[in-house]
This record gives sequence, C-alpha cells and structure tokens, in this order.
Amino acid sequence: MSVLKPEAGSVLERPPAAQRSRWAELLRSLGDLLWPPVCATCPRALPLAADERDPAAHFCPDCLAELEFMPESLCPLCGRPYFQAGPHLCGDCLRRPPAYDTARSALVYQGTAARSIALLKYHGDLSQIGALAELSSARLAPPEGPARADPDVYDFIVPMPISPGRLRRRGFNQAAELAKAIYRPWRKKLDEKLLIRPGDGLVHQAALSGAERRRAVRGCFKIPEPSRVKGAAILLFDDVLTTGATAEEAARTLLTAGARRVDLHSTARTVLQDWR
Amino acid sequence: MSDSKAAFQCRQCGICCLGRGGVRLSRGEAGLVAAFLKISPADLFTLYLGAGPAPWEIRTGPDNYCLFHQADGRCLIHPVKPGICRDWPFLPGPLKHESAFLEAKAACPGFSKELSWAEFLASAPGGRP
Repeated sequence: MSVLKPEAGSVLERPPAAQRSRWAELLRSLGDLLWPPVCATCPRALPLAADERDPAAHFCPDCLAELEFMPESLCPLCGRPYFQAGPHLCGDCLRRPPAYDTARSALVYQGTAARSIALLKYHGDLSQIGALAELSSARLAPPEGPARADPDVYDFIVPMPISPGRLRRRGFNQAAELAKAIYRPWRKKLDEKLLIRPGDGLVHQAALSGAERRRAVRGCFKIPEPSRVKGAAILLFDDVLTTGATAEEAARTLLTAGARRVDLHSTARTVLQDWR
Repeated sequence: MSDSKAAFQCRQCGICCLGRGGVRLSRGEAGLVAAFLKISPADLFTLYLGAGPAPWEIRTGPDNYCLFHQADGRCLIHPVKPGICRDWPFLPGPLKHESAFLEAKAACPGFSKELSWAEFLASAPGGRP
C-alpha cells in the first residue's frame, strides 16, 4: 500500500503565520484591509492577518465559545462520547455492532458547528468549508489527529454521495467539498465515484426518525465497479453523523462488495444531551 | 482453545460496570430485577433506571459505576442481571469486529493473555452470531 505524505502547500504543510515570507504576509494583510475578515457564522469583525489554522481566524470569541470538540472519552467503536476510565465499548456496540469498523467525528453538532454546516448545506455558503475543514483537520487528519484516524492506511477516501437530483438542486456535495479540504494531502485517494447514490433525493433525511431513515436508505447506494472495492480499506466521510443510518447502509454496501474495512469520519455528530 | 472458561474468566474487577454506556433492561428483565429486589417496577425506575433520554437504562452513581455494582466488586442483582452483563464478553460486538474484541481484551483482565480473535470465536458458547 502506498504511503502518501502531505504535499507541498497543503493545509498540513502550511507554515504558521510567523514563518511565512514577508511578501505573503504583506499580501494577506492587504487582502484583509480590502476585505476585512468577519466571523463565519455572525457579522462580527475578526482580527486582521490571523493564522488561518487558528479557529480565532474564522470565528468571533462568542461563536468560538459555542464550539465543542468531541471529547477524548469515546466508545472505541462507534465514537459516541461517554464516561469511561479506559477503552470500553458502549452497550449499543456490544449488543448491535455497526457495520463499519470505527467512527470518529471532530465536533459536537450544536451551536456554532450546526450553524456553520447549515449555512453551507442549505444556503450554499461555500466560505464555511475553510473554517470547518480547519476545525476538522485538527481532529481527523494527522499530524494532530489520533493515529487510528491516519488516512495513510486507507486505499480510498470516499465522501458520502448524494443523489443526482439533490446535487442538481444544491449545486455541490458538501461532504465531497469538505473531504477535499480536510484530506488535501491525500487527495489522490479521494474517490467520488466509488460509491454512488442513484435517485431523485426528494426525501429529506433530516425530517425522518431513526427507524424511518433506516427504511428510507435501504439499498440506496450502488457500486459501479465492485472489483475496485474488493479487499480495500475505505475511509468514508460525511459532514454530519446523526442516527448513523445512512453511514451504516453505505458501509454495509461497501463491505458486501468485498471491502476489507470501512471506517467513518464526520465533521460533526449529534450526541445525547446528557452525555456529560 | 475452544473452551469458553479457558478463554475468559471473570476477575470481578468491575471495569465492565464502569461508565455510562447504555446498559438497558428489557421489560422482562426489569420485572425480574424488581421481583429480586422486592420492590415495585415503579420504584425500580425511581431508584435505579431512567438515565436521561433512555428510561430503561441503568443509572450510574457519582463514582460513575453502575448503581448495582457493590464495593466488593459483586453485582447486587447477579442472579437476574441483564443479558448484556451475563453474556460478557461473548457479545455481538466483539464477535463481529476484531477491533471490538481487541478493545474488550485491552479493557478487561478476564481474557486469557494469549487469546486470539479466532480462538475467541471458536470458544464462544453457541458460536459466532
């Protein structure tokens, strides 16, 4: 299996602001003067020429305070947070293990993260991608991310597909756009055609309960070239993980086609209100 | 290794009783536990169940252990404890995913040290689900 290293100029290779050339800093400062930066999720002004890897370069202090990263204490399998001293599967994974091997997310889906993703998905605000990708990279991609989330171990990175109908209406697949930004050093492994989702996409998952979602997504994914999937380790990426029904179906489709393992990453996920 | 006792023997360390990880009672199990404790089902819910949005989930105490876990490591409701506790570690999760088996083995000292996943599967009572 080939091992890809971060490419020159990628998110992970970018030097901090202090180490950039004077010309680059000057250009960036000039750009900030002409188009003063504002918070990604509210109209408040941001400091000029901040390091874009710093969340403060994307969100104002109030919106930053509403951002919550996923905690360290997680079920090793499904990635749901819960109180535990050591590695220990949650009760749900012990009884009804998911099809995928592991799931990890960067942020808790609430407050600023939820607003940012809603602005991207439902208002076509593509400027959210940079902010969300920076926040996700910190948790999902090395060198900062946990070793088990290392994209080097995968043959393919597959963004969760959306139907052609929804793609036409929305104009872009938010999971694919986020994956391109988060896994930029591994972009050769990104494959948007390995797994597809035919259909008109008229049913909005957000309006369905967990059981309804599971019924709605049954058999909804197709693999155009199953021979490419056989024996492959696949990293599936989605913007938000809620009930996990869509991810479960996508993983099951890939594993049935012969994938060796399927792990799941998402920028955000919903968690029980009282997990703390 | 095809003997489940050789593969796993509980050390009563209580690690599996630690954490709020979704140990829920079925309706039948709740009835058995209430009868064993000689309390009404309503009292069972008031005293032991109903963690947040999961009304059938067993609550944990301030030390984060299951409310039925006792200081000496024993289970207060051992004869009628829920299936997920009784069947540990031969549960669908570790029997389906090798990674889940390795996590369970790392957390629980009851596993035989040299036990492989293949041996674990072979030793499961009733076989792999």
